[in-house]
Formats: sequence, C-alpha cells, structure tokens
Amino acid sequence: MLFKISKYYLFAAISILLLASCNKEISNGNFTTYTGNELNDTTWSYSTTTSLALQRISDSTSIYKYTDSLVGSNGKTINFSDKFNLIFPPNAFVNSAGAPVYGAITIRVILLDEKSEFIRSVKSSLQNDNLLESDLAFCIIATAYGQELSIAPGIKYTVRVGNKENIVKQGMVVYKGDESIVYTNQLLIDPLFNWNNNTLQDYLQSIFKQPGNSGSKEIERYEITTNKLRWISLARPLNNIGLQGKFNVILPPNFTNKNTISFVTTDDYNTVIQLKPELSSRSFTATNIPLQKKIHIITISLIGTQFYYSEQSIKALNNTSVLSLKPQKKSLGSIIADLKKL
Amino acid sequence: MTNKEFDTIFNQKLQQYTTSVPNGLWDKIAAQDLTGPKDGFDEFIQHKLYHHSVAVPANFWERIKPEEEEKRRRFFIWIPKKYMAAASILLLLLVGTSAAYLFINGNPFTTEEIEMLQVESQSKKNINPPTKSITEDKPAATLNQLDSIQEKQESAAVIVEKSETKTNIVTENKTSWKLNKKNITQSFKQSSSIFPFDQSINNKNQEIAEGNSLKNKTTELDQSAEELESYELSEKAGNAFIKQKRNLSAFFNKEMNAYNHASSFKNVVICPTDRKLRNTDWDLEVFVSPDMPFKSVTNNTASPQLLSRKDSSESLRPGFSAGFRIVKPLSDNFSIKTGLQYSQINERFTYRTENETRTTTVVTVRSIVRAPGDTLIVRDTSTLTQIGFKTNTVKNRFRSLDIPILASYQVGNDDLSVGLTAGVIVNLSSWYQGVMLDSSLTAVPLSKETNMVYKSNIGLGLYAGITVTKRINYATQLFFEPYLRYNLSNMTNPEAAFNQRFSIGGLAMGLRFNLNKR
Repeated sequence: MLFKISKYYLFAAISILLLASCNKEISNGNFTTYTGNELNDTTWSYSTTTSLALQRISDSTSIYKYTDSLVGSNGKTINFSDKFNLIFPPNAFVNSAGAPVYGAITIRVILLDEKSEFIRSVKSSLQNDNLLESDLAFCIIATAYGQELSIAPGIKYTVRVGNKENIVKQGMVVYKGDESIVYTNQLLIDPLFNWNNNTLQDYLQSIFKQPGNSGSKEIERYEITTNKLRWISLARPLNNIGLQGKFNVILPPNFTNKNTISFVTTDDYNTVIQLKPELSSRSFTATNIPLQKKIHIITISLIGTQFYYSEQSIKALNNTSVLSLKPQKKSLGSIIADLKKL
Repeated sequence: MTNKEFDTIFNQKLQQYTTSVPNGLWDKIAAQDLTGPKDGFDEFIQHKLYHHSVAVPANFWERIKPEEEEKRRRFFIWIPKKYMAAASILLLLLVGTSAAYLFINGNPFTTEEIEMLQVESQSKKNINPPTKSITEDKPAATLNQLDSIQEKQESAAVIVEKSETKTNIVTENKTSWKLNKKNITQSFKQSSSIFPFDQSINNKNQEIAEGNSLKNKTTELDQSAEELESYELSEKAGNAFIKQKRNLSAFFNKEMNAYNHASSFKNVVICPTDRKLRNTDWDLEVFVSPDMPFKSVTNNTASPQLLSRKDSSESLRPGFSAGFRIVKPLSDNFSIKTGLQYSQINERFTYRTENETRTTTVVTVRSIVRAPGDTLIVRDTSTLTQIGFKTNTVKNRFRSLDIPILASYQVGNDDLSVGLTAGVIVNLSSWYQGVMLDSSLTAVPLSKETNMVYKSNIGLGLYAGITVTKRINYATQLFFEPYLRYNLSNMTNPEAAFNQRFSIGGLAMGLRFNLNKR
C-alpha cells in the first residue's frame, strides 16, 4: 500500500513539475510589416524621375561653396577666393520673362574640384558614355526675388577659376552641363544630366596669368567668358585609361534605384562615373569602367532618415564584372569624411 | 468499545453463573497445556447462550425509537444545501471547540457518568454485594423480574434520594483524577494500569472494599436497581455508550477481579464501536484540477486607455491546481480536510511593439547581360531587412501556494457518495511572472523582483464544491469535485492603478487513500 501511495505521489509530483516547468515565457510574436514604409519597399522604379530619397541625398551632401550678392544695375567683380572670381557687368541679368533685373541679386556657386564633390552633387564626369578627366566644374546660380535669373541677351560675364596646383592643365576644354529639367534654385538630381561640348559662341576660353609670389611661378587661371549660367566644367577626354567594360554592382533587396546612388572613381584621374540603375538585373551598372585601373566603388543610400554607405577599393577589375556590396548604416558626416579620402 | 469495557459487560452478564470445572482442566493448566481450538471462547459463548432467550421489556422499543431516527435522516436529506454547508462549518467549529475543551480539561468521564459512579459507590458502601449462586434455568425469571418498569422507576427514585450527597463526591472524584494526571507515574504503580479508566476502576474497587468492610445491610430495592442498571448496560453495549463503572460491586464479589479477568482473555475481540470512539481514521487526498479563472478589474487611478488596452491585451487561459489534503472523518458523513495546494492561473497577454526590424537572409538570383549573348546568372546571399510591428504573446502566470481548510458532508454508501465540501483557502504566498502594461501603455516585464503591482499574499478565499466519491478498491477512492473558489481580496496593491481579483472554477480529480486500512 505504501508503495502504491508512493507511486501516486511520484506521479503527481512529476505531473506538477511538468506543468510548472512548461515555462514558455515570451514567445516571438507575429511580425507585420508597415505598409508604405521605405525600408519595406524593395521595388525598383521604372521611371527615370528621381525619387525623393535621391533628392534628399543631393540636398544633404551638396553645398554652395560661395555666396554673394550684387546690384543688378551696377554689376560687380566678386572675388570669392583667389582662385574663383566672377566679373558681372551692369544690367547683366534678366528674369525668366526676359525683363532686366536691376535690384539685388544673389550669386551662389557650387564648386566641384574633388571627386567627393562630384559624388555629393550626384554628378559624373562623363560626356555621354565617354570618360572625362575633370579639372574643375562649377555651377553659378543667380537669383532675385526667389526666381532664378539668366544673363541678359548681348551681355557676357567672365569667370576666372584656378585649380589647387595654380596651373592650367593641358587639353582642358569647357563642357556645359545639359540638364533635362528647368530648375530653379534647387539642387535637384537630374538623371539625364550630361556634359556636352560647348560652342565657341557661348564660351570663350582663355588662360589668365598673374604674377605669383616672389620666386614662384606665374599663377594660371582658366578664364571663361560666356553668357551662360549654371554648370560648366573644364575637362578633357580620358582616352588612355586602358580597357573599359561593363560592370554591375548588386546590393541587398532593400537598396533600390529609389534610394541609392552608386559611383566608381579612379585613383589616378579625377574621374567620377555614376552607375545607373539596370532594372532587368536590379543592379547598378556602367559600360565604361576602367578594368585595369585602381578604382573605388561607392554606394550611398538613404532609407527613411538613415544613411547607408559602402565603399570598396579594387586594384583592377579585369574580368570581374559583378560585385556585391553590403551597405552599412552610417552618419552623413562620416560619409562625407570618407568621400574626401577618395 | 474497549476490551476493558467489553470485559466489564461480559463480567456483569456472567457474574451470577457458576459452573463446574471440566474434568482435566486444572491438570491442563498445571501442565501449561492450553492448546485447544482457537475459537474456544466463541464456542463457549455459543454453547452457553445459544438457547438462551430473554423477554423484551415493555417499553424497550419505545426507548430505541427508530422512527424518530428515520425522520431525522429524512430531515437532513431535504435540508437546503447552503444551510447544510453553513451547518457543516458551524459543526466544524463546534467540534473543534469541544475537542479543545476536552483536551484542556482532560476528564474522560461525563459529569453524568461520574455522578452515577459516585452514587453506586455510595450505595456499595452501605450494602453487601450479592453473593447469589443461581442455577442455569433461573436467569430468565430473574431478568424478567429486573426488567420491570416499576422497578426501574424505583431505582431512579433511589438515585434522586441520594442526590444530596452527589456534589461533594463528584468534586472529590475530579480532584482524584487530576491528581492522577499530575502524578501519573505514581498512579500507574498504584493502579497497575496506564489507562485512566483502569485507575478509576481500581479506585472504585478500593472504595467498595472499604464499603464491604462496614458490613452494612442491603435493601431489596437497591439490589433491584443494581440489577436493572446491569441489564440496561448490557442493552446499550451495542450502541457503544457504556457506563462500565456502575455495577462495580459485582466485580468486587467475583472470584477474579476485573483486571485479572480481562487479562485472562486474549486481546482479539475488537468491538466495531470501539473504533468509533477512538476515531483513528485518517485519509489522504491527492488531486489535480484543471481550472478556469474569472477576472474582475476595477479602476483605481488608471487611464481609460490603459484599461482599454489591458482589456484587449489580456485573455485568461485554463490553469490548474494540484495538491494534497489530509482528511479526518468525524463521522460516517462528516469530515474535515486540510493540506497544501499549488494553483496557477494562466493569462495570455498580447501586446504590440512598434518599429521592430526583421532581418532575413535571402538569396537573390540576377541575370546580368554583360554583352549581347553573354548572360551571367548571379546568386547573391544577402539580407533583407524589414520594419514593422511585432505582436507578442506572453503567458502571464499567477501562482499561489495555499492551505485549504475544508469541511465535507457526504451522503451515500461505501461505493458511491455525494457531498458538499466548503471552507476557506488560506494563501501562503503568491507570485507572478509575465508582462504587464505600465502607465505609458508600454509592456514591461513582471517578475518577483520588479513586481510593484501585485501582492505577495492575497489572503483568504472561500471554497465550495460538490464531491462525488467512488470506491475503486478496498483502501482507495476516486473523487471528482467541481468547485468554485472566490478570493475575498484583490490581488493588487492599493497603490496600483487598477484593482484586480481572480475567482476560479475547477474540477478537482484525485484519489483518496485510507491511511489506516479501515
């Protein structure tokens, strides 16, 4: 009898123990994705129109390096630095309706003298699919009363700009930046932007020389006389870079052409190549990537309010045609600092 | 009935009989050859009493009064259960109080018994014990004579006449008994017994012996009263209420005294009623119960949003209880129980956490056209990160350790019985585990260390259940007990934003073991 009772006790104790020890505490709940959240949008855009995320990347990274003002009726020589001067004659500006602007006019300048600044302004150094080696590029924007102005007919202004070496590089010619959209004062990404050859009537290029410090060589500046505002580049075709080929960068599904820009830079040349979205392969690609030169592949993404960045250096792609990158979260300041190292 | 009491009755019945010693018995005793049939005693009783018959006294059946008892039983069946439950609890208290009182006072005799003993003692001091020797064909006539109601009334009258002397004697007897208790070692030596009852008998024997030495005359009326009492004693033997000490003069005049006479029988005769008096029955119940809790929540300082979110987040789930109870049957129908039980109330708590990210490893396959006719298939292992909300489900557990104090009244037979069990549940400790909402509607973990809302002791609860018991073997019964437990106080602290209380309905299922194989 005692044995039987002991068995019952044992059974009851084990049952209680099992029930009590069934300690399934916090269970992982069902995960439901937010609809409309950018992180959950893994689709690629078929439109060439840039997304809001790309605009924000441009607005966040690109900066107006110089800003000044003048009176339209008076004209002004603006010396932003010893390497960048603008000489505006009186009554040089008209508004979008063609009416002269005599009042206060604001002049702002974006200067692209480094590869990082090309990337921050989401600009490449390409003439169509041809590589350009850029020495300088800049964008001059004149505004009055919130409207972007243009140069009055028959009026020309002069730009004197020099590089860090204070010497004009051989073969550098003026390219004008052709934009697909009529922009106002905003720095919007233009997916169809292209550096095109200028015409002699619009841009007169010369070399401005001035004495340097005692014992040093003369300082040389590019001098451009033109009646066009906005994007101007001093560059030359890059023909001796060796083999070029198509190169694709693939990213995780979260990174699409709606939130990501991708670039390739070369170490030996001031050349920046933007990789354009290829919808069929959900990748970013360019067809004129130097295969035998050291390059850097960069991606910048903005999802929600979070920036992502990836950068990889490759001595030579050679036969490598595809590369997978895994962008990581990074602050905007860190991204800009990393870009300056390129 | 104890063996001593049985012997007393037996002695009373046979004191007037004499018989010759069988041939060779003394030789056998001298040769210590007592081997014989094991049931020799039974054969002896059968042989002596098989043809014996006694006429039923005139008012015998009235005194038994079976009709009244039947009415009383019917009355218990039809009484409302709630009154039965209340009566059970009251009875429990009454029994407990009585037991405590008796324990404290420690007198094994009722006042009436002591009074009767003293009366008899007094009478024996004044009379000579009867030393009649009767033949075997006389008892019927003698008993008929003694059973007459007239004589009984006269006997009662004698007792009334002597009532003036009772009080002092009772007090004296009590004092003697208390002294025996205090100096129990000495009492054992003097009385040659460890039983207070035997000590009392010996005391009485001494008193009677003293009475005999006085050689007072006996009246015929007193003798009749003694014989009538002796007969009543034998009648009541079956009902277990025996006034053994009454006819002590008969013991005294026997050739063997009571103690030696009782010792001469092997202690194998156990009267069923003796067990009832001693009540050594103990049962053990082991049970498990699936429980369904019910919750009541009232607002204290909580915001409507908190209560609404709490209500939508929480849903009660079946819990369980398990434990054991020691059962003390106080009668065939009534018993009290206590033990220890563990209860667990389960609650499903569902809450939502925002801006959760989920990262999934994915393999993407891309077809990259390097040149016309040159397509490269690229399989890339990467991760997909998604953002959303997570619906978490947590099992909250409210555990408690309790002591049930219950009373049970059951009717039925040995095989199947039904009854009501009610009482209180005394909480020893309560503890909780899980998640709860704070005032900012955020889910926060709840544990012993961080709990500031729930009490560690929820106090008393009321318990009521209907018990169905089915015997499955000699010492084991299976029982089912649907019950309801209502906690009298909130499980939340007064400072909590809301008041919460659980009630539990369950079905206790278990086994009841008889611990002493009755």
